[in-house]
Amino acid sequence: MRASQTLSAMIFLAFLSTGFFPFAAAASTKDNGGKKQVSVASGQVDFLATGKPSAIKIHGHGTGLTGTFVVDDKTVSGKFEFPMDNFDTGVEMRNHHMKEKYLETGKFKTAQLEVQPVLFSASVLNAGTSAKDLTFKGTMTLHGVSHPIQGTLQETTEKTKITAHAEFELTISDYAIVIPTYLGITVADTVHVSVDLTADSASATHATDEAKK
Amino acid sequence: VSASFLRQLKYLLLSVTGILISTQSHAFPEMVRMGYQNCTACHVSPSGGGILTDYGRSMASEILSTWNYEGEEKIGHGLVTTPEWLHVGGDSYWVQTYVDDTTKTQKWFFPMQNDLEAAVRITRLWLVGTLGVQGGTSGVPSRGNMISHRYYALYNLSDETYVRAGKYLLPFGINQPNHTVVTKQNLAWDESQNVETYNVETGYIGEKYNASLVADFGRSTDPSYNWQNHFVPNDSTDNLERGLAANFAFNLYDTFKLGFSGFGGFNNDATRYVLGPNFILGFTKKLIFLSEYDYQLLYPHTPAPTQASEQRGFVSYNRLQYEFYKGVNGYIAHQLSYLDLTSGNTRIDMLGAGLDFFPRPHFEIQGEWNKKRTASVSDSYSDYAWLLLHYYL
Repeated sequence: MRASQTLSAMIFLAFLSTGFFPFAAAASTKDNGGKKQVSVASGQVDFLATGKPSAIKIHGHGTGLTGTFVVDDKTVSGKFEFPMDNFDTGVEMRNHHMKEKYLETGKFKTAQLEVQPVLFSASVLNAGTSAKDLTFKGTMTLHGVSHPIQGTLQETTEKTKITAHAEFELTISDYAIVIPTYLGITVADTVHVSVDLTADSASATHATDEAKK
Repeated sequence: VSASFLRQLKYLLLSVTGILISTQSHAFPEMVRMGYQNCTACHVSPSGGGILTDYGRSMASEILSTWNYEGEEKIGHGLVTTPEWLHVGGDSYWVQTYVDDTTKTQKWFFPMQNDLEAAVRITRLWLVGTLGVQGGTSGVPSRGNMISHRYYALYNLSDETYVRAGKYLLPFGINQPNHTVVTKQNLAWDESQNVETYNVETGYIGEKYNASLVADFGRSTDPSYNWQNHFVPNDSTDNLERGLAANFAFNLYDTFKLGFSGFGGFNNDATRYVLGPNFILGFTKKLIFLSEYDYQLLYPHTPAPTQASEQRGFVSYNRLQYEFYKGVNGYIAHQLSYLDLTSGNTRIDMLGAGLDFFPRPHFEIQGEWNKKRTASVSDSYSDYAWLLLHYYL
């Protein structure tokens, strides 16, 4: 087993957290007070784990984040999902160990993140809006275990393009994932996760009952 | 024989001597591109090179080698198993050199180094040593002699701090396997010159930065050396250099390392100070840039030091490397040595390209070709090339 596997696991967590970003889209759509939902156009998740001793930096990256966020005036909430098999740490064996032994992606194929409503200063659907260092809370489900998380996010809406970046930290052991160790290197329990996504506010639709939930 | 010919022959010999009797500890600073900013992930030695950890062997297979099978990276290709407290390694280097300058063309093929290395771990204490046969061409007097290039005790006070004492190459700047680069050879820290010294060192290896402080007590190669006078400047029976070195490096993001090293030391001939920055920049997991600049200020002892007699100069090394395919690395490098800025004759510059190939764990083939100009010899460039065959146990 490798430290890289551990890193991979961390990455998965990070992906899950990607869903946190409730950046709603729809700069061109005037917010009329009704709830709108916007789907993620593209999203990626990165994680940075540290192997000790020696402070090895394990960087994982993956694309394929999907999800929807709901915009209700100035608040945004959302649900996001990331396929854990999409993580890549740059080392084949590390990827294999991470997915097979620690994240068990065959059994737990995706990670989900449900973000609680975040209050912005203006509707994210309006062009020209931006937010910095907002705190968000959510629930991440990873490796079959749900656990609350908290992080920070930034958002900008330029014309109809909504761009969001979120960061948070995960504790591997919170998710019943064995702390990865490999040949004397042990991955630190805390993993830093960052999520980047874009959405098109022009694609905003009235929120369905399911989304409103 | 004319004086001119002798001078040219001297520089020709100097240019190849470095690899005639050299030793290598084979560090891989370019692993920073994969997030390995500290040497101790893969090596027992805090300054890198030498015997590998189990994790290092695994990475040599997974990251460095083009092909591998499971367990191939282990000692004896997986046929031998050692207890957890014992690490065994060793290196065999064979070199083909080619030098073509204004005086003649020289080619040599010879064993450069054949060493066994062992490391014993007793809780937090490591005892490390090598034993091998001195390499070199048939003309090297010590060729074939038994020799231990390095031996030291290393105690890890914690996961981040250590103390080390023993005989090994003084840590300074970027530790890279090519000991003939100007930042090693021209600063007299070239392993080929048997300059491993007796050192006492302490250091910190953290997530954000590393630092080390090394007391260099020198090392005499003269059996009659009088150690009682060792700490008396200018009263030694051998002309060994002693000094103090400090290294600091900051780990930026997860694939950059920015360092600064300084050294102050003296021998019977001179007192010198060397300091400068070094950079290891992993732009991507395939593209990396290594750079080191060292400024030297040297005060000759004879005649009495004056402002006029001091020598100011520098050496620089820059390499841009790209992994074209797993295990296949190409690079271009530029080197400049100008150790007395008042004398153009001390200027040496070199531009070259190389290929470093790791077909399987335990095997390395590296070739480098340079155009080299030594101002004291000629204004024209000469060819200087070598091919290295390396097997590690």
